Amino acid sequence: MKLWAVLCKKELDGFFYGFSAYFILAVYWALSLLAAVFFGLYFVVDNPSMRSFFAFQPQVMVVVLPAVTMRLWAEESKNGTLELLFTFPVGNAALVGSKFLAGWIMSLLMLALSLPLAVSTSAVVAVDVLNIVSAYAGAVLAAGVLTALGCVVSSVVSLPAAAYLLSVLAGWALIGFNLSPLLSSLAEKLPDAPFYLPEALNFSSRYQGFINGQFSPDSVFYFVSLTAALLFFNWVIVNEKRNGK
Amino acid sequence: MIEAQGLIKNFDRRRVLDGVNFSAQSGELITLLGPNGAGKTTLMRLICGYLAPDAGAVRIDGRSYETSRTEILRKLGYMPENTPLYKELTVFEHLCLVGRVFGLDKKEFSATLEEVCDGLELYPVLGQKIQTLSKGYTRRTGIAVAMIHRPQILILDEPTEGLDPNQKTAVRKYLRRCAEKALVLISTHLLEEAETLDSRVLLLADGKICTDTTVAGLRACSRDGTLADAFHRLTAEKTIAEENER
Repeated sequence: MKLWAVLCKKELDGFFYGFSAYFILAVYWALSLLAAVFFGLYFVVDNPSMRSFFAFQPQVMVVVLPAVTMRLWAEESKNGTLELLFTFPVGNAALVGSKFLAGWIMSLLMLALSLPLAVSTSAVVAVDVLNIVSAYAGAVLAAGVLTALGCVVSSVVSLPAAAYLLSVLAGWALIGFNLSPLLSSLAEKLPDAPFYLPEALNFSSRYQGFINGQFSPDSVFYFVSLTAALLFFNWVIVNEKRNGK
Repeated sequence: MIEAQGLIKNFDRRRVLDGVNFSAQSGELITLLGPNGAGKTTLMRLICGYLAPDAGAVRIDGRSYETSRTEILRKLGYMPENTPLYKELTVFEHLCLVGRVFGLDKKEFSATLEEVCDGLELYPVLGQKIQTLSKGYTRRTGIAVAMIHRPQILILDEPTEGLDPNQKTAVRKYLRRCAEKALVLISTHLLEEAETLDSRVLLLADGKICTDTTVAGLRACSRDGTLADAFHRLTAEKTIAEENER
């Protein structure tokens, strides 16, 4: 665990060296506010659960988080420090886990920036605290999935810019994954087939549940298991690379 | 300590290492000599587990990377080609990071830090960001990073490249001192390096070890008593002769 902390701190130090972390945080905050105000009409409709803010978090994260995750593996590859890292006596799980943790901490910092908004909203309207807590939990879990996805892409691509673009594309594909139209037409033809399964894998509807205040264990399991699956995939890629393949 | 058996490595269709065999023990100082593209860096990468061989095996203290990677890497200190380092850190921070990764406690770290900084004359730049260092200091920081945990096996890829003559002398002196306690393997294409270090020489050409000898043994292969001629005979002329035979 100590080793994880050492490696995680190394990543965080890297983020906060120079202005990149501050720039990413500022861009995230600006995009979140713009989305909440212009698309969510934050100051027009009542927001007892900050719905206007949380509704667009996946989209904002898909654009901003890859700027964090591209650094984790692709930049190591580009700078040649991967060779140094891979010859440290560190297991693959610690390498993958510490990098993911650093990325996730960055996304938590981003979300923490919205706390003043929650406080100021509570001063204006009677907020539904439990609903807001549920929405924050959903955002934290969604950030975990998108960070893990970014880690996978970053470990495959050795150019940070390419890793960024591919992570954005993969993120859009994940949050836009919705087979409902196709399934409903199939369901008409095959009424007995178990079409509930792909729908249960829908990222957006699961996230929507959290915004609606439905803090359900199966949604938590969905996000946690998706993150774990992506991290396992990341581990496999790192293992292959480390074995010189 | 190091045992390389029949190492073969191909990149695409090109054979970079072609059946390399050698073994080395603690207390040896070995110079891996060879022209550019001979396969020195690839061989070093295989030894420190960054690459896997297509055939053959590397064993460190009888262990292989497949089963004991972390245990082996704990014994190794490695400076890759071109000295990749985390440039956003200061020299001290980088050494701290590596010390922590290798699990050194404060006392051990302080002792080796002093030793390494003395030997490599790093005190003036300890608080400086690596990004701002000169090539010479960057190279010496790379060596320090490889040595901070007092490895039993030290592998340095062209450690004196880009250093001025005074720095080269200091680094070589330090490497000789290290070889009293550890196995030191360095790669170079500079003949003077092997000569000054008076080390065991592994001469690599076209992916094969063409000579495993001493500096005196290498000189004996020459027509005029110079290492340059021996190097030429064993690498360039041999290759031409082999091509003619084919």
